[in-house]
Amino acid sequence: MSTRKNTKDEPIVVMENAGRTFGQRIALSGLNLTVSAGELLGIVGPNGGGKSTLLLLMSGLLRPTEGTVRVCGIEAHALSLTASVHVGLVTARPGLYPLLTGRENLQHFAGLFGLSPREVDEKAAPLISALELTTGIDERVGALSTGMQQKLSLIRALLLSPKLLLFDEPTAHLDPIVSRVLYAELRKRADSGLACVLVTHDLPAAEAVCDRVVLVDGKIKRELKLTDHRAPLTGPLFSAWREAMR
Amino acid sequence: MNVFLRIARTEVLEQRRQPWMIFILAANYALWIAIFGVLFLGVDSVSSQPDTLAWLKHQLPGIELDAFMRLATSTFGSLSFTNLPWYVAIMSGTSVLHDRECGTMPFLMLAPVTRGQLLAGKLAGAMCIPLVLHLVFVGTSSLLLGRVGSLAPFADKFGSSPAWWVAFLLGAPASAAFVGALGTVISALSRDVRTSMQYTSFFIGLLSLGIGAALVDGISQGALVQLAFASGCLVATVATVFVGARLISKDVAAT
Repeated sequence: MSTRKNTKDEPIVVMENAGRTFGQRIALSGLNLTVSAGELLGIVGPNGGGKSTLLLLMSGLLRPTEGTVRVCGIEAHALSLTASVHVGLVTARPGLYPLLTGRENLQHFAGLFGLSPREVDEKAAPLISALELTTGIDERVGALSTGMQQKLSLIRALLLSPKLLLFDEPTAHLDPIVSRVLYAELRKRADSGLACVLVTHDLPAAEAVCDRVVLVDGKIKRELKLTDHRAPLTGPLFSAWREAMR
Repeated sequence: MNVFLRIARTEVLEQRRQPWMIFILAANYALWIAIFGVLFLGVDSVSSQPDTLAWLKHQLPGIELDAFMRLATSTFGSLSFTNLPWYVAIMSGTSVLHDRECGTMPFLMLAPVTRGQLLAGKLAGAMCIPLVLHLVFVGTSSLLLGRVGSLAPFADKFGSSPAWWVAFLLGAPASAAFVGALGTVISALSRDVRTSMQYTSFFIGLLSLGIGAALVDGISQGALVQLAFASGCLVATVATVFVGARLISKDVAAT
């Protein structure tokens, strides 16, 4: 696994004419998109617009039916087989084993990448402390709140020094406080040089934390650079959303 | 730790957190062993008392004790070897599906784990606890009952023949691995627990019954036949995992 830090502006994700169809249905087509190191890209759009599909294409969990998706120069679909570039993923469902403790879950998933339990404990300790999970880490995941589970999911994503961090509606079931913690953590990671992508319905949050936002509805309908952080629901993103969806 | 072993270890760890499930599996073994144990010891006790035996034969006309004991020992042997594949089928039938339900599948797919390693790890994990129960309950009960005097004519089914040992140590585990591989593939291809359990119970339940009967009947044919059976099952296991890994390769990516 490479531990080299991303260089700012280095392209991490490059999508060229990428698209995906499911049977006869075209979910996404003609996507040309680049996500650079140190950038936090927001993806917004209506339900069924292909936001999650776009994220899955970037993660390599879905293979594009047209065009190419590359992460650090490697075909995204082949990423998991190389293990040289790790992609961190946080989804609306935390995706943890409920009968195992938080620590056991971390040890299991990081162990699949070759980390020993001791290495996992050492790497996870500062993250556990920063996300205030010290009391819950040795409890069974099934007994933890959704917010705590989501924090665990974030720790799992960060443990392996990912090049790319993907968030698919991570705050869907979270209260505003925990949501804010997650967004702050995401912003911090982007500032430290990680390429981050956030799929969300939360426009104020997207406006508040993202550097750039794309509006997706089967294809990229709009792309906005956000240079300053503004008050929620009044910025250009919200207006663009309304206009694009008319 | 190897990826395959880590997946198996986590599978076992989750099962150990469900002590009631393990208790039920163990209780099932204990129940039928107790029933047959009481029957065999009862018959042994009666056989050593000629007056009582004569009275019993008079009370049950038309029932040949030898034929009855042959049937009873065959049934005991068949149950001994049926439970392991059956339990493994139950465990494996929800193994990969469990990851879909927990939402852990995408995270497994992002890790450097091949579909073959995933299926093999899940299979190994599904086999561990049933295998321990098999070794403890079937091993202990067969060896103890093999010492009962009236069972001497059927001693080959109670641990006194090499064929029984091959069936016990290799045949039953290998056939359970084959059945478990089928269950693991079914669980990977199923979208919900109901579908998985229907296929697992129907096809694999019947297959397990057939395997148990085949193993106990094969004891009289010698250790080599048992060895060939076990080898065949292992080859079928590898083939099932291999084909299964290719069948699910497109599907799992879409989770």
